[in-house]
Amino acid sequence: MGEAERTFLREGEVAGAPYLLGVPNQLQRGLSGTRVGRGVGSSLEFLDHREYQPGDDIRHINWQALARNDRLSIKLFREEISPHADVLFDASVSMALPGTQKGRATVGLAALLAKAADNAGFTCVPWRIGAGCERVRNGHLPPSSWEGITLDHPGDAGSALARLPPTLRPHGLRILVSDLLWEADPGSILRLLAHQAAAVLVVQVLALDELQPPFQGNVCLIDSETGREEEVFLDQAALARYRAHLARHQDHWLLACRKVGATLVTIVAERLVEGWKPTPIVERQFLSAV
Amino acid sequence: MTLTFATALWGGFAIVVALVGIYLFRTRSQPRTVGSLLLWAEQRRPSEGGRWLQQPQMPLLLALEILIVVLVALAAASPRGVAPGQALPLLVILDDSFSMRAGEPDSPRAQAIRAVEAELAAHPGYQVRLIVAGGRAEFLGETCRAVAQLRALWPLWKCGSPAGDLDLGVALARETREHSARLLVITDRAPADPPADGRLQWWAFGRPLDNLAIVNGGRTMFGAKDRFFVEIANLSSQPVRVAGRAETPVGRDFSLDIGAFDTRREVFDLESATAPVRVRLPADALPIDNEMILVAPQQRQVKTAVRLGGGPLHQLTERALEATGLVMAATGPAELLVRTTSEAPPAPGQWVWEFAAASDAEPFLGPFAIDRTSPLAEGLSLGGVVWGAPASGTLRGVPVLLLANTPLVTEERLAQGARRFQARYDPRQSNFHNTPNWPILFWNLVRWRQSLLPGPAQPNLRLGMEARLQAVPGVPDLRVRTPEGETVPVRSNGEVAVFLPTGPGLHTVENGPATSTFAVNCLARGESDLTRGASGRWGDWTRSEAFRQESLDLGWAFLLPGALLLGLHLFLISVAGAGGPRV
Repeated sequence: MGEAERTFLREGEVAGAPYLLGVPNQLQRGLSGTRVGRGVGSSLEFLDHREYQPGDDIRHINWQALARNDRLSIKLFREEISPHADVLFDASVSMALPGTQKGRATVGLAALLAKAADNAGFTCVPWRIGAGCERVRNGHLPPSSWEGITLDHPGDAGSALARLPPTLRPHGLRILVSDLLWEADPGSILRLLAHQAAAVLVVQVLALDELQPPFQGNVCLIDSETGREEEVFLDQAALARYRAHLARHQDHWLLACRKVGATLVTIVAERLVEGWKPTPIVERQFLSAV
Repeated sequence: MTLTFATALWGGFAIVVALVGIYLFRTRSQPRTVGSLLLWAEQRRPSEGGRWLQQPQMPLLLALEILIVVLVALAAASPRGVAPGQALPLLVILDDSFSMRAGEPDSPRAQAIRAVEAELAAHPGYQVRLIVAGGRAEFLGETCRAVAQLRALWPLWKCGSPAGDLDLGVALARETREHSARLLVITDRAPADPPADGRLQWWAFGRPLDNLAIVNGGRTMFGAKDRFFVEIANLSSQPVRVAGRAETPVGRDFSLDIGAFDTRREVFDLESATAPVRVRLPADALPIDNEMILVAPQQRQVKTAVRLGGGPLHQLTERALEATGLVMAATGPAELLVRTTSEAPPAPGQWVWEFAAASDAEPFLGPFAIDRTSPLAEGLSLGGVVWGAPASGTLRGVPVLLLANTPLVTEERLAQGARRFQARYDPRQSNFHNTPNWPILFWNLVRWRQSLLPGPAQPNLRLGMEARLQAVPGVPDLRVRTPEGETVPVRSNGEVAVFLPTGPGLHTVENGPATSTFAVNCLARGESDLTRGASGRWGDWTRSEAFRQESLDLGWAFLLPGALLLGLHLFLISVAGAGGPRV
C-alpha cells in the first residue's frame, strides 16, 4: 500500500472523529451487547409496565402489582445491544480515476465511516471489494492502521460481490462505497446486502469529471478497468446523452434501493475532499454530530 | 499549357499543407481515461480524424477544401495555352560551325535535329524557318510545317563553317519576321548572357571534349626549295604526345609532346616543289581538323614585252622588269606590254604600259600628288625627284600620279581584264629613273599583274575564306570541283570570280583550257576547342508579351470548378450546422 492511501486513511479518520454513525428512523438492532438499545430487552434498566400477554417471559411478571390489584402485568426493561457496521468499498481501478480525487474520497470516506461507527459504539468490519470481498487486514484497528486497501482491481465490484460475497453479520448496518458503474443488475447486489440487515447505505462516489465531462471533440475513451478504447466524437448533444445515461443509471439504482429499503446517496469526490463534509450522508441521518 | 506565375502553385501547396496540418491537429483524438465505458455507449464514432496510428481518413470537406485550394492556385498561376491549330512562327538559328559535328554520330548537330523535330511534332502550329549562322547568316529553304519538310532541309545544314556568328543569325531573324516570332538558337555552347526578353530560347547540345587540332599551316617557296609548317594545338587539360604523318613524296612521320592547351609548330623542308602535301593526326572527337592539305604556291612568271624603240627608256624599262625576277620574255601574246602611246587597244586580258611622247617636257620638282590606294603607288616617295613632263595636257584613265593638276601616270580599266597605263616621262630631264622609285614602280606593276593572272589568287585557304579565282580572258565561266566530287559552276565578271568553299579539301578549278588547284583547311582554334562545350536550355518564350497576346488565358477553366466546389462546400457546412449528417 502506498503512502498516498495511508494519507487518505488518516484524513478520513480525522474527518470521521466528529461524527456518529447511526441508523435513521428505526430501532437500532444488533446482537446482545453492552449498549442500551431503543427496544425492549433484558437489561437492568426499567422501561415500562404493560399488560401480560401470553408468551411473555413469566420471569418479568410484576408480582407486587398482582398482589395489589390482582392483575397480571409484566415489567419491561430496555434492551442491551451490540450494533455492527460492515463498510464495503470498491477497490477497482475506476475508483482511482487518474486526474480526479475519486480514490482519495473513496478511501477517506471508508475511514470516515469506520471512525464514525467506532464513535457510535459500532463494531465495524471494513471490506475491500477486489477480485472478491475480503476483510481488510488490520480492519479491527483504527483506519490509519488498515493494510491492503489499494484501489487496483481491474474489474467491476458488482461481479466481485456476486462471485465472492462477504459474510455479513445479521442486523448490522451495511454500507457500500462505490461508483456503481457496472452493468450487473443492482437488485441482486442490494438483496445480498439487505438480507438480515438493519439498514443499507449505498454511497456512490463520482468524480466531478464523471458528472460533467470537460472534454469535447474527437476523444479516445479508455476504460480504466478493462483498457478497452472507444473513439467517439463529443459535442454538446453527445454530452447531454451521457448525462442522461448517468441519470438513468442512478435512477435504476435508486429504484432498486427502494425495493430493498436501502438508501442511495451520491457524493462528488472533489467536493467531499475539500472539507471532508459528508453532507449527503448527514442529511440522510446516517451520520450525526457527536 | 504554360503557367505564367508558377510560384502561385507553391503558395497553393503551402496552403494545402497548412490545411492538412490544421485538420490533423484539430481532429486528432485526445486520449481520456474514464471509469467505465458503460455510460458512453451509443456515442457516434468520429467521421474524421483519429489517432496518429489509425488508417488515414479523408473527410469530404477536407477533400473539397484541398481541391478548391488546388484549383484556385492553378487559376492564380495564370495558365495559358495555345490553340492546337494556331500558327506560331518559329525561327531556328542553326550554328553552322564545324564544332557541331564533334563526337559523331551523337554529335550536337544530331541531337539538335532530334530536339527540333520533337518540338515541331509536339506543337503542330509551328511554322519553322531555318537560318544557318556560319560566317554569315542566311535562310535555309522555305517555311516548314511538318517534320518531313524539315528532314529535307537538314542535309543543307553542313556545319562546315570555321565560326558560327549566332548574333548575326539572331539579328537577321529579328529583322525579317514580325515581332511575335519565336527565336530558337541551336548551338553547342552556353550563352554569354542568358536570354531575358522572352522571345529567344537558347538550346545547347555540346559537351566538353578533348581534341587535337591543326590550327595553323603554310607553305612557301624559297627559290627552288619548298618549305611548309604546321601548328598543332592540344586542346585538353592533359599533356599528350602526338604522332602524325606528313604525306610528302617520301612520307615523314613526326612526334610532338604538347602541353595542356599548348601549341607546337613543326617545319618541314622539301628539296623541290611537289604535289600537294597532307598532314594527318590521329582520330579524335573532331576529325575535320585532323588533316591539312597544302598546295605548293605557284611561281608564275609574267610574260612581258618592251617595245620602246631601243632608246634609253627602253633599256631602263627592261632593266627594271628583269630586276623583279617575276617576268619572262613573251614569245606569244604578252601579258604585260610596255610601249609608246598607240591607238591600238590592248588584247583581252593584256596590260599595256604606254609612255606618251614628251616633246615639250620641262623638269618639275613638284608638287606631286599620289593616289595611295593604287597598288602602283605602294612605296613610292617623290621627295627630291625631278620629273620631266609637259606642263599641261591630259591622259586617259584615272590619275595615279599628278603634277599639280597635270596627270603624269594614269590607269584605265578596259573590257575583258585589259588595262592601260599611260605615263608622260622624259628621262632626259628627269632623275626619277635614277632613284629607287623606278624599280619600285615596275615591281608594283609586275606584282599586280602577276596577282591577277588566271587561277586562284591564293593556293591555300582557311575554311571560311573566299577563293578569288582569276578568269582566263574571254572565258568567264569557271567550274570548281569540290573534294566531295561535286562540280560547282562559277561565273566571273570577265576578270575575277569568287567562290566560297563549304568544306575543307582540295579544290580543282577548270577555266577553259586552264586547270588549277587550291586547298581549303579547317584552321580555327576557337571552334576546335571543344572544352567549352555545354548543354542546356535557356530562355522562356512564355515570358514575352507576344506569348500573352497569342495564347488564351485558361484560368477560368480552374476558377469555375473551384467556385462550384466552394458552393458545394458551403452547402455541406450549412447542412451539417443544421443538424444534418456530419460530413
